[in-house]
Amino acid sequence: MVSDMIRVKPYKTRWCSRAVADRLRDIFAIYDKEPDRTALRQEAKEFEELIAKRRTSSEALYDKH
Amino acid sequence: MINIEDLNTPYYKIFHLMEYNLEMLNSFEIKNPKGKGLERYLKEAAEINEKDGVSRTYIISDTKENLPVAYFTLQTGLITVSRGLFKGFDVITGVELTNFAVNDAYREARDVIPKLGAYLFITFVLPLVREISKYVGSKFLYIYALPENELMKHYATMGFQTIPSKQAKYVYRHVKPSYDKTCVFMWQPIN
Repeated sequence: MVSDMIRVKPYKTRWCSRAVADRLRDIFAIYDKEPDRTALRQEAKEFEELIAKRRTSSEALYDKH
Repeated sequence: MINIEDLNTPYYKIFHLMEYNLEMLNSFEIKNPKGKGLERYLKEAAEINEKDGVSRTYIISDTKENLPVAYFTLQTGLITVSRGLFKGFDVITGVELTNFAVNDAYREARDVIPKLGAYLFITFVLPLVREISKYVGSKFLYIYALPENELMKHYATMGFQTIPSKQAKYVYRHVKPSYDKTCVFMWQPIN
């Protein structure tokens, strides 16, 4: 977690009061959000299925001739 | 360490720019006038940046004819996070996806199925970036996106997200290059 940088970088934060550390943790927490790759995976899957289908049908056409 | 050829699929394969036939890149075309810079970069600057060691460009070609289908460029970078007014900043390391473009000439000529970009991103870009992050500590993959709704929606589909404008302004003030002046910072964790 990016917000853990506050914890794992004590040399940068040892002078921090608890309040300051909490505030910094809040700021850094913005960067802890996990990416939503559901749509990406779905689009890639659809593409792969279509291209496989197209490749199969064009090869079948080639064989026919 | 993987060989980039390990990423190849039955339909597409990846080359480092300097291992590709550069003459083939003449057929690379971006139709959208706002994206012409991406075409110019590939044809005029990518090789120079390679030789200078500034960035690395990868070409994705089709397996049948070896035609360039898309390209992307990576370089290391960082972003700054404010610790508060007059309190300095911290940095978070990352890899910048400086360019990512699909060849419109190829797309039109081959009647390419939509969603090619998503497929190439998940098949080539993400795995390569994950591999890089094993050797060079890097937390984020980030871009400076052209501020166009459709494009930003597309990047959101690819997993990129924006940050609140206050934090974004801080990034812009410190590390956004002038050539990305109007662009919007978007990021995703490398995992």
